[in-house]
Amino acid sequence: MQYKKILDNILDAGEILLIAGAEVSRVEDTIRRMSAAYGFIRTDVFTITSSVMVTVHLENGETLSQIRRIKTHQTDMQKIEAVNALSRTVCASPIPADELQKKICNIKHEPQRSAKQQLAAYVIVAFAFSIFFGGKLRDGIAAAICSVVLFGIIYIGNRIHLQPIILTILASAMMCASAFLTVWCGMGNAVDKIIIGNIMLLIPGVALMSSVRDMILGDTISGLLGMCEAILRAVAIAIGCALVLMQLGGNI
Amino acid sequence: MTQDMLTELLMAGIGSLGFGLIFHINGYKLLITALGGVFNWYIYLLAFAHYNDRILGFFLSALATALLGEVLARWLKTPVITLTVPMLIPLVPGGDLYYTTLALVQSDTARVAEFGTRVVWEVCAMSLGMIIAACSVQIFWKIIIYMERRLPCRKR
Repeated sequence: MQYKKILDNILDAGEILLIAGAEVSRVEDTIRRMSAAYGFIRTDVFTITSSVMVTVHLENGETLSQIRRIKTHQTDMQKIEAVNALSRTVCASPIPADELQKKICNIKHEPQRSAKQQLAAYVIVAFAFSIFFGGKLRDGIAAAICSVVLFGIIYIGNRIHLQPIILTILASAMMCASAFLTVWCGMGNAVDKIIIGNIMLLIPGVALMSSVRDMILGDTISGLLGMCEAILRAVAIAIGCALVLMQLGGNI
Repeated sequence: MTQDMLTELLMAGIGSLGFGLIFHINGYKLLITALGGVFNWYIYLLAFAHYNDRILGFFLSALATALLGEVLARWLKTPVITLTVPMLIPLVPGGDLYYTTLALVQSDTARVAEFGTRVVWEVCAMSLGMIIAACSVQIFWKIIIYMERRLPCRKR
């Protein structure tokens, strides 16, 4: 009974890592190390970006298996770090199952960034990158205004559980439209710089980089899956932009 | 160092900082990611000034930044991607993706080909830089661990 609970918690740790955007190899490594620390004599773990499967062998010859299916992803480096630190302490000296459960529960329910903080970050990024790619100060300000629209759509879309690809198309289309709107109002100057600043917010940087790392570290399947997702997202951004550009911007 | 370059460096730093905020990085690590973004673009500008080649610049910059990230992450005992992802953000080819789309809409095949290949090359250069950095750090790390096991005179 105790073993079952421990396995449950170890898988929870893996699930938190995967949702927070860690590489697959890290998830597998963490699960393997933690279950070795708790005295399972053999651990077989298979992870892809959307599920974790584990079978452990107990000393009395029994086996336990569990599967977790992951559907959402929310990049959160704080959580990856917290689980990493927990796994380090557990490997040094295993803590009792109840304490482990409490700690993992704490990490899971750690507060995310509030909507206001996230909005501030979106504004900063859009402003910085539209100037970075050659815009003027007023383009940066216009990009910041568009990023508020973008954040609003992403926030509502996540609330009503829209599919990520559809959400990306919708968000990039609305963002393009608002960029044209700001230029018409005389806010911005170069519509392309305003849009690029906001595209940087949508681009799947984490998916791309962690899938590259997965491929190097030996998880070809997960690497390919992540790469596919990144390419799909990039295409979705392009489709969203194209929908608006076809109507408005064919001659800019 | 022209004023444009200084603006770019500053904005790369602020952009990396912003992504650090979005990815929920806290405390002094935010400062590290911001400085890493500046470092990243500085290396690109240096390489571009020296070789006058955009793709080579992307590769060298990604290599240097990823190496820095790997070393810092091991030193600070934190997962590697928490540092490298926000640091590498200024290299993500958002601009060229947009211009490819624009050219597609305008059905300007020549420009589609030009910018499309540019996006692919830049992503490949970035990935290659990251791969080489990760591999060399791993080789180095494994050798250190092996040596530590081999040397019996080390204190436990």
